[in-house]
Amino acid sequence: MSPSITFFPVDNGDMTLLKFPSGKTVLIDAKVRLDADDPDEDTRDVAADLRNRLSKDAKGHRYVDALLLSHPDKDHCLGLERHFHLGAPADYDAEEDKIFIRQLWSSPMIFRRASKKKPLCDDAKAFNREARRRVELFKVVGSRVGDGNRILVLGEDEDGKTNGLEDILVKADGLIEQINGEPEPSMRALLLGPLPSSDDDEEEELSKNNSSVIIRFTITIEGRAWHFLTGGDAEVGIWERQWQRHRRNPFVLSYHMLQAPHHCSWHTLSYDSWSDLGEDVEVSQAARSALSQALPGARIISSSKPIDDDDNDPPCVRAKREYKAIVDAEAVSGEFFCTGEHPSRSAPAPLEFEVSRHGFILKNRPAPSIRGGGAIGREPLPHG
Amino acid sequence: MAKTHQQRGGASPPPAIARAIVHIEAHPAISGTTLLPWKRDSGVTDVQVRIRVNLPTEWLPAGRSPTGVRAMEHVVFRFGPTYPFAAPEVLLRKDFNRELPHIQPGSVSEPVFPCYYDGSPDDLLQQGGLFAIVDQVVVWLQKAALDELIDQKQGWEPTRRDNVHDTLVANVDSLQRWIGNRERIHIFHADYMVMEHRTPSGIKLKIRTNAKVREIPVRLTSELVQTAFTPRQREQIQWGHSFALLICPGSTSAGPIVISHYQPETISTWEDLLVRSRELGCEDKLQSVFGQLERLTENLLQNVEIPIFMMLTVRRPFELIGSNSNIELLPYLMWVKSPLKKDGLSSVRVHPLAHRHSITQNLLRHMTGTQMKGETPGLVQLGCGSLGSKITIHLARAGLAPDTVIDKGNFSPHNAARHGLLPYASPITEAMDSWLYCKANLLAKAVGTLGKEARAYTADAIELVTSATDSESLFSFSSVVINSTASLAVRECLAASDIYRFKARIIETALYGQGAVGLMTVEGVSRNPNCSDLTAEAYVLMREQKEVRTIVFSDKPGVERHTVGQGCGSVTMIMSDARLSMLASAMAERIGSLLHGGMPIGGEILIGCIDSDGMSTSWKRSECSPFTIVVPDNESSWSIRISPRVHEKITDEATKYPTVETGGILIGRVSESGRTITVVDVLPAPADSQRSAGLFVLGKKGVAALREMYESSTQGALYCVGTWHSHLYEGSASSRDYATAKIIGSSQLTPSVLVIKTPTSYHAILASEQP
Repeated sequence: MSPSITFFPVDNGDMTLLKFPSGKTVLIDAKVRLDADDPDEDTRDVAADLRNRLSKDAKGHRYVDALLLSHPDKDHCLGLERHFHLGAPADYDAEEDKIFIRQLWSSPMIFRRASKKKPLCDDAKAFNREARRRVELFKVVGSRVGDGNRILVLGEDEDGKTNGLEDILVKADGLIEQINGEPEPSMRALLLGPLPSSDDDEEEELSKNNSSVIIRFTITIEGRAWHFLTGGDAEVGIWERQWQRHRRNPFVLSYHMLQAPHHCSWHTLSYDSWSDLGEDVEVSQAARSALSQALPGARIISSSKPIDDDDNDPPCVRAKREYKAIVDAEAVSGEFFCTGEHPSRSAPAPLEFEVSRHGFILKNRPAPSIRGGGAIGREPLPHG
Repeated sequence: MAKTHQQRGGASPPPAIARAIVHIEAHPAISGTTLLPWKRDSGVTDVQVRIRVNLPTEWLPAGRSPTGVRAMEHVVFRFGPTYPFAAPEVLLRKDFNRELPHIQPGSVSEPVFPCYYDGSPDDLLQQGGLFAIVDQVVVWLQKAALDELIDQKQGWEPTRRDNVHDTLVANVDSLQRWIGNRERIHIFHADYMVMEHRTPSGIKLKIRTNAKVREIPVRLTSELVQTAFTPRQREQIQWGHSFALLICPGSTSAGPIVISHYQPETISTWEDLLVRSRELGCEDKLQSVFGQLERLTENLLQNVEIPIFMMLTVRRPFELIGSNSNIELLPYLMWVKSPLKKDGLSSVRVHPLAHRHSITQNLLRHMTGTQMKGETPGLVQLGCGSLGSKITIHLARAGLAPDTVIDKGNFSPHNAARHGLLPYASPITEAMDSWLYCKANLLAKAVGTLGKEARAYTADAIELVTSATDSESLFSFSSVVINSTASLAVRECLAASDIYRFKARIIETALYGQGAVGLMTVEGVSRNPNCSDLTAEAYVLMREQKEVRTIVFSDKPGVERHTVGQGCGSVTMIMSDARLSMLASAMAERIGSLLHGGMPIGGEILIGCIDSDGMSTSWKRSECSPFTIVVPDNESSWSIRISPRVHEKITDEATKYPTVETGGILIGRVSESGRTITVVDVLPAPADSQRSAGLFVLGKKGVAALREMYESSTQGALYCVGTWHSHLYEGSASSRDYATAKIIGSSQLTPSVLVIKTPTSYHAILASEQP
């Protein structure tokens, strides 16, 4: 099975599937709009796209090995309850045929910060309930819980809230080398965020800046390492902190592929408002430095609507310019992609990269509707 | 990404090309197209297509792959006047890396033609539209960039020469025997034929050359050269006997020379050929052979032009795809004139040839998916009539040809109506004279053209089987004999053959009812059940199927005498060749799978039937366990063969009456020639039979009607062959049994049998008045 990274066209939002050489899968966020589930709508059926890329287990349940929620905003978990089984494995309803989640990757710290900012949506609440169920089960049973009950807690929370969870806890700057309780030799995932706060002001600041899980995945193929940096909706203040933390060893932030945070939002790179100030906005050099550790041939992916030259944010054309400048630098000579524009604005399709020993390779997947020879069926070939 | 379409040259393209451009641009990897200047009269339109090649991260900064494929490739789609029936030609830039595999041979001054599809691009166009062609080219470029055009796990991919029309047929397996570790050049006869075309201005063009290389090397002598430079010509065809050079690679101090990198197929001159043979360490040998040729052609008639063939052989680091060898054969053709001057060769063009395997049983096995290695397990075809010849040809085409074919008859004109062979015209007399030959010889000749030397015997099968010497030489090395003689006598003779002398298992094939029903039987291990047992058992099975029974056991004769000339007739069936093939092909298919998949342990009976629609065929396959063989207590030269069905019925009946004797009537066949009684069915004892502990008396109530009904349902093919009864204890026949046998024996001419079932075995008494 070819390892790959697939970015699904979910408008402004994230849904990214990582497939490792062992076949294990990690899904980062999910967003399935109602339109995407309606066959009469033109919106891409991303749920089908996702399901087509997942395997079935011995019971015939389609599954992901791990589901990571970067942060509980609607555009990162919409449709979760509709498409994923949340609850005890024994309660799985075969008729509903939902995607089974073998392990959750969840950050209680981020949930706490997000709920301070605004009320959680129903899907986020459902995720949180499921995370709690799994944590409580762990407290009773320990690590022996099976598929569908496992959880990995990302980030040590304040006031000892994550005490007792050490066996399933990854702290900031810690490494994840297992998926669903089993080693994945081709993966090293460095947890860069969420970062703990030193005081209430910082806590407030981090909450405001859309505290998100930030991970730098390193995928090793035949001894060669390729880096993918993803950071949910983390905004400028968080990236400035990342730079302060790693400026002496910026390699930690380097990447061959970056998912532009917050759907190519200007607020990732600046404290200024693009819609208010236009071209007068100023870039935070620290945040830009954190996000510009592009390695040769790096790609930056904006998981967003098509990017127009207008006042919208996100996605913001000014942010795109900044990212383009990063990948266009001679030493990088990389590429910038927008999920809403690939392969075309009128019919976006999943943006899929194979991970090879030479790095990420874009896969061409022609849409079936434009395959030639008539739409009804392909002609069988007779033999004379 | 936005796509750009440009047009150079002003005029609008034809509508088909305009549509084609839309289709090309629909592919996500296409960045844009440009219509190149075109001439309305030429009928050819070139469209430049800009294809984005997805380079991996590592090569993105350089904008090209290590194999030289660029992130943006400019490819020309050349649409000919026959588009959209024919696919466009796809041309890569001239400086595209020719050292990649899957590229057609060509000189460096020409564009590069990729082999982007493993099949006919024209068919791909019809099947998937132009979009499919574009997609294949995109995939090809992508693989070229990643150096994945060949999967080395599958083996070394030979240089592609799909579009080369001139061919050389050679048996590589055989030629390889002459390739050692030292540089050598072996000379072989090469028979060739060239088609020429004369242009209106009178210029002769050689449009196609086909040659076949023989398998035994010869010496380069003046006679050989003289023959080679004496070509024959008729109208626009030149043919003759030239020669081919097998150029074998040498060794260095490091060992045999192995070429492990792809080399572009760019040899087009004598100099190119010398350079390549230098790499193989055999340039000196090549020069030396041509030096000899120069001397040997000195005194020949001037300006006679002939083709000579060169077969470069290259050692590869691993085996070629679909081959057990690491030797790649690269054949070339060179036209030379007498007297040959080495110095003048630099202006002579060298053309690559497409290699074709010569017809061998291995090639045919490969092409038909026959999973068998090595020789067939000694196969004899008995009977080369319409059915036997068809089965033989089917098997031979699948690489399973018989070693021996036997038939006593001549090929007769009326055989043309149904046969595996066609009447052929002699190239000498141009008369339809194949009827002058024996069927066996003609069939062996046909099998010979399919890569197998088969022995032909024109002889009576019974004489061969019964003759100790013929039987020894013919059958002792055979393990399977297919009997398609449709002769009851031959079948009985085969069945009666001594199992110790005649070990080959018989496969019987026969047709019934104007080809409406086919029967095939396969003998079991140690020839039990044998062909006669199986035929009798098949009669029981056919009797049970109404639609088959009415055809096979019809009161109309199955075969009749039909006039095949004034005063001459042939006893045969009237049916079409196609109908015969429907059953013959199924039989051949099953025989083929038995030959390569392994013969069954037990016997097999296959009954095929053509449905009333005349098209559908249905086959039923039944397995048959060994028969129980009982030698009569009173006559050891006879044997009683009891079918598993009969054994089961008798055992069930005896078990039903554990305290008294019971019995019944036996149905089967008697073979006087084979001194065998075959029992295949049992009728129950009539109601007035008497059962007691020491005696069973077979009653007579309704027996006559029951026998009549059974016998008439098979038109007498199966009939009453005796009786059976049980004994409660072990032991042989009683005096009463002998007395009864005498009564039965005196009442009819053919022998009958009294079978006695004891708790663990059988006894039998032959009831016969005859000695």
